Amino acid sequence: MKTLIHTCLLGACCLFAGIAEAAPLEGYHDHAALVSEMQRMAQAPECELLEIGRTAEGREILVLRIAGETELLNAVGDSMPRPAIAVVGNVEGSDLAGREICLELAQRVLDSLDDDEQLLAFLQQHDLYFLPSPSPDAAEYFFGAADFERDTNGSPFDDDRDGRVDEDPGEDLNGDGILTMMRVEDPAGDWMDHPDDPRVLIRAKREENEQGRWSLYSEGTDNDGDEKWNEDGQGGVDFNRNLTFNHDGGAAGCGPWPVSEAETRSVVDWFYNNQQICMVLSFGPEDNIRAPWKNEHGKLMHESAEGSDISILEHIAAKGSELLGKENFPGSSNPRGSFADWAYFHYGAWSISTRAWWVPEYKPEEPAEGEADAEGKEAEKPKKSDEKRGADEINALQWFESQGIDGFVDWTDVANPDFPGRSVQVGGFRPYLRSNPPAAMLSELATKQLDFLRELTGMLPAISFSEVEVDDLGEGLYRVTAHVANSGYLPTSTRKAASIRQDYPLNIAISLPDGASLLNGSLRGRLDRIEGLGGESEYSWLVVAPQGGRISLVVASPSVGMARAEAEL
Amino acid sequence: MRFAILFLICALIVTGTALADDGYPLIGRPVDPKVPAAWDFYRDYEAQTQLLQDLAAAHPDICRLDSIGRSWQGREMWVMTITNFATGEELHKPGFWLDGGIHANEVQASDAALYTAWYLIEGYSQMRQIREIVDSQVFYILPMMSPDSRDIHLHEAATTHGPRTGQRPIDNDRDGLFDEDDDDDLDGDGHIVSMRVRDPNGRWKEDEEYPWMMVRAEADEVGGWTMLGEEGFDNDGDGMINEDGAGGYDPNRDWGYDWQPGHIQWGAYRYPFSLQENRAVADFALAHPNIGGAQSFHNAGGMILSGPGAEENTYSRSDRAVYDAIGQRGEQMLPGYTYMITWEDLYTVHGGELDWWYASMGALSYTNELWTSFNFFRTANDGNWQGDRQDQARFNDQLLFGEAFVPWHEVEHPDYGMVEVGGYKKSYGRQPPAFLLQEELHRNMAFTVYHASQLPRIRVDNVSVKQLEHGLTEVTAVIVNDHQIPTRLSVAERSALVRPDLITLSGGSGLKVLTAMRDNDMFFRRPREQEHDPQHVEVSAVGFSDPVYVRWIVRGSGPFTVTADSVKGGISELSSQ
Repeated sequence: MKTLIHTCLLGACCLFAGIAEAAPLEGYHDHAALVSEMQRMAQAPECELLEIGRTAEGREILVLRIAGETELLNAVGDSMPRPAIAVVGNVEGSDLAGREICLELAQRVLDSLDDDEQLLAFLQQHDLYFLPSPSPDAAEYFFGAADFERDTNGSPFDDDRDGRVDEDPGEDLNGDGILTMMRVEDPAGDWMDHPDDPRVLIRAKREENEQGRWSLYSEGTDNDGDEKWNEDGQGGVDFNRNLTFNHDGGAAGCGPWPVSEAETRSVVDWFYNNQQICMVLSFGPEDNIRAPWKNEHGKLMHESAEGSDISILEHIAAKGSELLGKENFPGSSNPRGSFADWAYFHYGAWSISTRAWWVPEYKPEEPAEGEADAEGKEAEKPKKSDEKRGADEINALQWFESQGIDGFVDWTDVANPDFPGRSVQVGGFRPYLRSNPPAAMLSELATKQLDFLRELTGMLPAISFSEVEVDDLGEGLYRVTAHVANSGYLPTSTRKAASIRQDYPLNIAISLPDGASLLNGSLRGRLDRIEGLGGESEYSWLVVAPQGGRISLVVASPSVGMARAEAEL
Repeated sequence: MRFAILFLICALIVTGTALADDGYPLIGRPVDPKVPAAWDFYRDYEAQTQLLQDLAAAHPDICRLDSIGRSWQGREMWVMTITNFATGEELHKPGFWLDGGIHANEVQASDAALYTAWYLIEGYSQMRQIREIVDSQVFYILPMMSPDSRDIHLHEAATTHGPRTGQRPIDNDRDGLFDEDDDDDLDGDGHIVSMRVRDPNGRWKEDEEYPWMMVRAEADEVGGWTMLGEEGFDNDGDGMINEDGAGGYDPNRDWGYDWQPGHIQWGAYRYPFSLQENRAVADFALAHPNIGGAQSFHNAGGMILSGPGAEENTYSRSDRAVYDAIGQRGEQMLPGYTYMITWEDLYTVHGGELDWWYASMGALSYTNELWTSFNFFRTANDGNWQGDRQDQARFNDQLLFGEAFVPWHEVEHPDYGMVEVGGYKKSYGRQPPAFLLQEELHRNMAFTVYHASQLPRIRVDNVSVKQLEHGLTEVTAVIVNDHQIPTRLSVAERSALVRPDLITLSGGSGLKVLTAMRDNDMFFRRPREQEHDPQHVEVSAVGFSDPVYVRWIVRGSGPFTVTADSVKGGISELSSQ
């Protein structure tokens, strides 16, 4: 069945993608394939497919729920949702790898349900939610024109705020079907050739007497005569810049205000309506596994991750780096208004965000022959400079070459009326290839991510009544003290959730036997946040009751779960 | 018969004087309106809807009623559009937004917005100034911003302070249950008042002059009463009273500029425009960029509020000057009202509607806080926004015959046993009594119309043509704005909220525009040339008494036509001789 879908998808790619013959990224799921794949998974008895909204272009925003078996009851006896981890892919429109891995993770979890004891035990009490594509209009660009890496949705937006909408997109000047870069020979330019590979440009250091050679633009003409090139292309708003925390009002791609877009509203509302989600694992350019959040001194408390949360996130980051690797990590990019930030700073959950993939370090094959021979060969190679600038680009070119990927458009002369009498060349990296690997590599990445997800499932808080003390004070008066303990690694909420009042405190309820009444304490009370690994909280009541009556106790919070106990008076 | 009516209308228009049935020339209200309306009571959703629909049916040439969406509970969000539809495209006229009652308990705010619509529509045929403004501009009036809670306040038990929220259920105490512990009308009289119990150690006492009023005992004095808060009991058994009532947010903290979440400032819901009522307004505003002025009616305290809501968002000097001039006129028109800056003179507001109209939409905006305690005895007072408590009690005693107060009486309380309940009715504190209501509505309407009359109006004042050498021709246009609000506020320029005004040259024969320039100086001593697309000259803004001079160097012969197109200032055209 799966193979069939893949075959269909390849057909679709060839038909619709303008650069299909040159695209090394065949095998990714376009929206239709993603939907049918999720519909297929939803046939499994553990699964449920939720449509949480639609985009402006009418695409479904889908969540696959893999549900636990136990029914949980809250403090007043109503059925309550199970605490959950949400896995979110593709928060950045061009990051298709994150979407594929999210989808594949859901499949792997389903495949493991036969024999994976840890996941089975987890799913007894918890749910997993998979939201592979929060902004499918943005992502779908990859399967259509794909002429540049578009992170934004398709809603027309006046990026440069000049009253004209989408009036200055890029133009394909060299006729290769994609938009790359444009360099203009210019002694006042900031860029010069890399000494080892003139395809790569590096920024000239004037203060070190380096002469620039090129001015650098994206490929296209200045359609609106404002001396800016391609500053207002098609689209749109970037989901990953459209959230409420630290939103950059007025900047291109951010939206006129936070959560201005249909998909952002759908996702944010869905999270707020599902307070059982205590942890969010997302795939995007922000990576707090390899670059953990720090306490940002000098910032206000609500702008910085909080003390004990930071220590815990560092521990998770260390685990993540161990399982997922961090070699050649290109750094974390934290856009303002990002999803991963929102999930922690405003939603209050444990937010863990990871890049899905980056170009690995190119390692030349070790010569098989003896050492002397190798030295001989070494001598024949052209000497490489020790230039540090442009190292990522040089590495990418070498890696592409080693993989047989046509990842770079060589610079060629083009005519551009904006620069009369000057040499103008177009070239550069092909879109999408430096952030998304060939589909064949996705499987191994998903394997590592599954190990990490399993690790995370073992960290959630686990509450129980460690003890219910009943002190008989005589004459039918009892003091009942309930001790609730958390044996999980994580506390019952983040410190942040408590300080921004996004936590759901543990509610504790007591049921009394007939004829009993309370002299102190309430039928329903609440407990403070409980630390992990044996942390405890308590609540007491004074009860007047006939001897031998039974009381029952429930403690519950949607993002933590529930526990029950009974005691005899 | 029809002819006779037509004749009568013509006669009214010609004379400009309205005559009441008895022939006496009454002023200060439309005479013999097609839709008669009294203004000494509050209309609920149904009654407001009826009046709006009647107006729309009676005056289809100058008004139109649309619903821009629905409230949480499904009520229509009515917007009355008022303009002479025969005098040009709606979006090409300067637009003015007016809303009321975003805080539903502030009931007269909605009636004041409704009154404004009624007055403009019914006054159109009788009043020259009204006719001029309705011919040349367009009003968008949304009287009920929170219609669900309006009916709760009017028809269910409430205090004068509630409901400020809408009716979307919120788990205020985060115990997993929604709206499970609201206040309770223990005596079923429709008013939520205070609870008190006799207590020899209590710190409250009855006022000596007005014993129904509870005041704090002096430090060295025995009180005798303990106050127990607003009427209600512990509905959910958690030991707290009235901690999770219906709703639980502030719709006026939900707007897209400088929005901050609930932990920074109470009241914000999930994100800007997370409340559908407000989102409908935002969508409407985005579709009506011609709106250049906005007002919101609230209560209370007699304030004409301008932004910014937060200290860090300063206004430019030139925008402030316009705010000051119009706001000070308002102080004159609204005795007892004070023109204020929100953060500085009142309190900090993030994500308020007032700021959003200005800083996101580029419209000059005020919030009017209706009802001032100045009206108790028409003297300045030193009390807070509700006025001096003694004055409030004296006014109740002397002018309302004590009817504003629910006398203290005993009720059985489920948690406390026997207590007494009593206090001012929900209709006293923030609202004028009936005999002052119409004046309140009228004066605020008049200020709104004054503000609207200052919307920018771009005009091509003059086009002159001069022959140069070598067959070149110079065309010069003078672009003016006759009103106080500039065609683009400086915030709209700075944040590029609104495109520049476009001054276009067309017409003539063989027209070829070689270049163009503009200057604020009639002698063109330091002009700025526009090389790109010189036929459409971009002008940053045109201020009051601050013309912009535009000059084109062209080939071809006239007459030439100059069109000035301003997003907020309308469109004007003039041809050369």
